[in-house]
Amino acid sequence: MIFMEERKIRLKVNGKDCELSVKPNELLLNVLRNKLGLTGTKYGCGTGDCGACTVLINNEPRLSCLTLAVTVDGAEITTIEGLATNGKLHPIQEAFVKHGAIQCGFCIPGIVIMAKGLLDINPNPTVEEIKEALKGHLCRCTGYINIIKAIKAAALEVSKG
Amino acid sequence: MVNTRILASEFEYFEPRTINEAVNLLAKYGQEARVLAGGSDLIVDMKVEKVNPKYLIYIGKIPELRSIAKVGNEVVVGANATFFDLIKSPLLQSFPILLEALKSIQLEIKMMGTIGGNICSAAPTASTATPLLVLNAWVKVVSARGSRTIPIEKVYVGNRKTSLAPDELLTEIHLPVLDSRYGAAFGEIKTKIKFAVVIGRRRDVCEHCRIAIGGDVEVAKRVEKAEKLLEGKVFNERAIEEACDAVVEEIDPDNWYVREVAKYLFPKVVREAWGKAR
Repeated sequence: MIFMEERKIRLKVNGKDCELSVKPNELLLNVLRNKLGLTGTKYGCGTGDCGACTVLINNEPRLSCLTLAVTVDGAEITTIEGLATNGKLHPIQEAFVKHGAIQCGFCIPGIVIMAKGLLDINPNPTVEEIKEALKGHLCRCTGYINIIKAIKAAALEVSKG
Repeated sequence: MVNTRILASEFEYFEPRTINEAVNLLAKYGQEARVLAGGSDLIVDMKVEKVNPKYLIYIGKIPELRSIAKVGNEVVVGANATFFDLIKSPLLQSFPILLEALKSIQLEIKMMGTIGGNICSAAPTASTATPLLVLNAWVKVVSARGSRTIPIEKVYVGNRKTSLAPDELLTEIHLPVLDSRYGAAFGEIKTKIKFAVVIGRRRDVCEHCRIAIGGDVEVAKRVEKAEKLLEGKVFNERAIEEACDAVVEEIDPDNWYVREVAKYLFPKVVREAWGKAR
C-alpha cells in the first residue's frame, strides 16, 4: 500500500476560481463530476476512444478521463456548463439545437466542446476537416450528418461575431 | 472487467521542474518508475493494469523539454512537444511527411500526445515512427550517469520496447533537414499499414532510398532489403515490384489483408516520393 498524499491544486473552472484537494490518481473527469458537480462532462469508454469526456484545458480540447487532475494545477478548464453566457446559449449550442444534431445527447457535450476547440484554431473548417476532427467522437444515434451541418453553421455564426 | 472510470492504481507522484531533477528521480526509482508525458498511452495502460508503476514522474512542468529550435542543419524538438506543437511550428514545415503522418490523429490526442511519448511507447503503429526512420532522426537520452545519442532505428528494439535503460530520459529528437533534391512521401491505411519513403534520383536511376514500414507488424523499422533492390537501379515498374515483394515479406504471412493493402499502398508511396525527387 502506497501512501498517496493529497495535493492542493487551483483551477479556474468555467471562469470560477477553485481550490481543491486531490489524490495523484484522481482523474480530472471525476474531479469535475464528483467534486464540482459538473456532470455535463461524460464518462464513455475511459480509454480515449469515444471523446465523451472532452473538456477545454487552457483552450485546448483534451480528454479529462486520461488526465490526472494534479497535472493541470493552475489551468483554466471549460466544460459544457461554461459555454453559455448570461443565460444565452453559445452559437455552437444554438446550431446543434437548430439542426437537430442531438438525439440521446450523451456524446454531445464532448462534441460541442471539441467543436469550440476546433473553431478556435480553425474558424472556417471544411466538411472534411470537421469529419477529421470528429473521428475521436463516437455517436451511435445521429449518424453525424446533422452534427457536421451544425458545426458548419456555427462556424459561419461565430465568424460573423 | 477493469473499471476505466477511475484510475485504481496507487503511486507516488513527482513533478520535477528540470531535466536534472527528473533524471535524479529516475536514478533513484528507475525500475519501478514511469515517466508521464501526455498520458494518452500510459494512463490507459495503468487503468487496464498492463503497467503498475510505484512512482510516476510527470515531465510536463519542464519547460525546456517543449522547445523547438533550429541548430545548424537540424531541427531539435524537445521530447515533450505535443503533436499540435509540431503541426503549428514553422520549423517543422520542412518535414511534410512527418506532419502528414500526424494528420490522422484525433484532435484531442494532437493536444495531449507528445513526440517523446510516441517514441517511448514504441508501438509499431506509432504515427511518428515511419517518418522519423526515413528522416534519419536521432535522439538524445539523459541519465544521472551522463548522456548519449541513439539513431532512431536503434531505439525501437521490439514490440513496445525501446533500448532506453530504466534510468534514462528521452530529452531531444534531432531531425536532419532533408537534402532538397530528395523526394519524400508517406502513406497509411488506418493503423493497419504505414509507409514512409525517401528517394534521391539521378535522371531515371534511383541513387538513394530509405523505406520504413509500420502498422500491423512486430516493430516499425527500415526495410534495407527493399532499399537495396531500388538503389542504383533504373526506377521502373519491375524494380518497384521487386521492392514491394521484399516489403510484404515483413508482414506476417497469415495477415493476408494487411499484405494485400500493402501491395496496393507501397508502390503508390514509392512513386510519389520518386515524383518529388529532383
